Amino acid sequence: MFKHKKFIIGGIIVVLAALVLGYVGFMGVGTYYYNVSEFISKESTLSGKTVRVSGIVDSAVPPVKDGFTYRFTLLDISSPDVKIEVVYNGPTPPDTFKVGQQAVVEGKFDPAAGVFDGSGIIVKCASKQPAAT
Amino acid sequence: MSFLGNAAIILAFLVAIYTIAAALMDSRKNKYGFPTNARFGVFAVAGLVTLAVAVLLISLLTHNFSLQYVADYSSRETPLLYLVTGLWAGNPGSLLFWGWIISLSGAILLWRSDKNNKELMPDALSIVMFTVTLFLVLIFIDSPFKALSPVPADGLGLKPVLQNVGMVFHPPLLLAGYALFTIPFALAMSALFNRKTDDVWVTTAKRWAVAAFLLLGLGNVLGMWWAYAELGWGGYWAWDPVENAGLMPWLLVTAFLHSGIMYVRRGMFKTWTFILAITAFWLTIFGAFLTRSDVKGSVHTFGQTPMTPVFIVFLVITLVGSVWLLLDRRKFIKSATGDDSLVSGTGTFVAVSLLLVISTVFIFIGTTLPVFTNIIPAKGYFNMVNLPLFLLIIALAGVCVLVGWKVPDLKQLGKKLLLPLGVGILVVVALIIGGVNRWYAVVPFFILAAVLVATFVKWSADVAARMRGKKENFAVAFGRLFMASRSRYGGYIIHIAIVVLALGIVGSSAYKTQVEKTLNVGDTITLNGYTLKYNGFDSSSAPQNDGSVWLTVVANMDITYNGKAVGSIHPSQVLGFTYSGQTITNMSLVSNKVAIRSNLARDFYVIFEDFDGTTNQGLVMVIVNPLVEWIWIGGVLLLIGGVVSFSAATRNLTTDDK
Repeated sequence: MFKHKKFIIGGIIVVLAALVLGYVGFMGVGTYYYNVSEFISKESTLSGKTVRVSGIVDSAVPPVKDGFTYRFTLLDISSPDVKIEVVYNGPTPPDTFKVGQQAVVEGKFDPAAGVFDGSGIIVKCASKQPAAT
Repeated sequence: MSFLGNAAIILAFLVAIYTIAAALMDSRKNKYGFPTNARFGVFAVAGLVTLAVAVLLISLLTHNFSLQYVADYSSRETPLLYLVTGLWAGNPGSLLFWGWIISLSGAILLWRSDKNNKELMPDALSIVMFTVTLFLVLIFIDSPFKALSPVPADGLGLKPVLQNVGMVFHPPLLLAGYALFTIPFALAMSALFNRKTDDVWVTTAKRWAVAAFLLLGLGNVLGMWWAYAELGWGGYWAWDPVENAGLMPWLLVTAFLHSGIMYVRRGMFKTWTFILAITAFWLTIFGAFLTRSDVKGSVHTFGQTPMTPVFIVFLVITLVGSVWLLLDRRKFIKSATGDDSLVSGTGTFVAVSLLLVISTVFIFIGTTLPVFTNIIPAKGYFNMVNLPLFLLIIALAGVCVLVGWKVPDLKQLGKKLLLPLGVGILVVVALIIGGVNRWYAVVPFFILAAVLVATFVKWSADVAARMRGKKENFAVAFGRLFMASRSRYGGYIIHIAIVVLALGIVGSSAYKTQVEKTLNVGDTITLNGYTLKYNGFDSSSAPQNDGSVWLTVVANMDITYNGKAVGSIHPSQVLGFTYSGQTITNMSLVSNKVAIRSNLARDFYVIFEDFDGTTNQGLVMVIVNPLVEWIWIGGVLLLIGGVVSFSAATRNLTTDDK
């Protein structure tokens, strides 16, 4: 039928090129993602690496704002006894960041201070949550 | 109201099931050859779902907080416009809206069916009804009609970030776009099932696909605009799973439209067209699943909603069912054979749809990776793969309009390409003289300029041919030609829209500059000729109904551009504090208003990121984003081109143009 060969060859070239580009892009700055307990068990291997940690913002210790620095505690989603302290320097956390709710913090573990040094709080699509209570 | 809403949903579900049975088995046909009972059924389902939507809308408008949904997404203070948008602000409401559009589409499809496509109707509508039942079951699981007791005096209100014009139109456009593509899928399945693999299903599906393309395209652009103007992080696209869920179906619908034209005109690549109809539809439902399953929230909570099994069952049934049907009926799909060359209309059409599919596959992998692993691909992954693919697709759009349909005269093509390539080179020279010398901006700008000129060259050649042939003057020839081939020229306008949109994306990606600084009162930031002076902030607090206190902090800043005063800007933040006695128990951002000064050349974008109440310092992000406005202009052109295409009657394709 149609001169298929040319298309197959062209297609293969494009797919290969895309694979190479994808690989290069992927190796760039892909981020690893852990919940609090996983992060704690891997802490020693992760110091200095930027990762994302997901947990519940502890409502027993409300976040404190001191100048541009925010301090709060992140609890593991399934076992709330496991927790890490987070120190995060502005901007103001997004509107989806609330005590008792899930938050994803990007940053590095700071072994000297024993805290998670947050560089960003991930915004979730606002349409997925009801209004503030 | 709860009872009425639930009753309408349950009744609609029962009628839909009955309609499927009646459509497939009832032998009593009406004059159009459609089972009479099923005909009533299709309209009854549309009516019942419409009733449910009306119940929810009236409840929102009358502040009927006995419905949990109304209390969650509106309050007595919510402005009228946002009471209406409350209809799709939350998950239950958006599912109801989606199901509603599908049920209406089914009714319209049946109502508009004619002697050409009547044989496809019973099976196609069974599939439409089956899809409606999916949504009815989902609505039942996460119901907008859940009663709330005791009835609160006031609702929680719509989140301030959702109170934006972009949010008024963005969700319903996307939802309606997803919903409309149910029809092309249903027609494809029916065509396979009935072994009617001629043109009819494609020509019937075309308008639905054009409408879906238009709605999804506009929905995505409005979503970008909302993210840019309201979310306030300085960008418009983050390759977020929610965004990707809107982009992937749009890419495949685009591929389907191009493949469909080839199916009808050349009778080629029929199987490919079926595959695209199936996958585009499948991705709309998969996207619904993805965005309601919190992929980004956590790998571990993914899919832990009661809706998951329903989605999975539906996704598996549709995928297995359609693939089986396609394999089983493959001997009835006879694609024409042609010796069309690679550089031809046919060749470029195939290449475009192939590239769109490749792009979609890579986006799909990147989007679903966090579900199976704990790796989140960086934005770089998506950009590296897709931006070159998108540019190649745009370049092909330029070649496509200039080449002949089957086997082009390559010498002729060379001549036709002279002007576009010449203008492209001039643009490159001008850019380099003007100091724009980054190759990843220059190469795209060359392609965009050439494609734009190519499109105009082809268009004016068409008009010139008609002026000679019919001895008409330019205006008459242009107008009559345009009206006669709206399908084609709507397509050209859409191509121009994509070029303009890409212009904005390339400019703002390649030459975006930003500075983030902690400023004392009186400090300045200088960036690309702009100087921003920080004059501190004003704050005021206001107690809210729920006992919390909102603190509004408004920054005062003056801007100058190359020494000339541009004016004052006031980006702001609203913070909500909850107290227990004197201690703060919760603090969260309520809203964040950025300040944007735009012109066609660039946006000056200022975010007041944070403040220090004791020192009066501000943390300020200043961004200069070149050419962003062109993205929104591209969106407007997309609307115009889409409406022109949609207005073209389907018959143009089958009789006049063939």
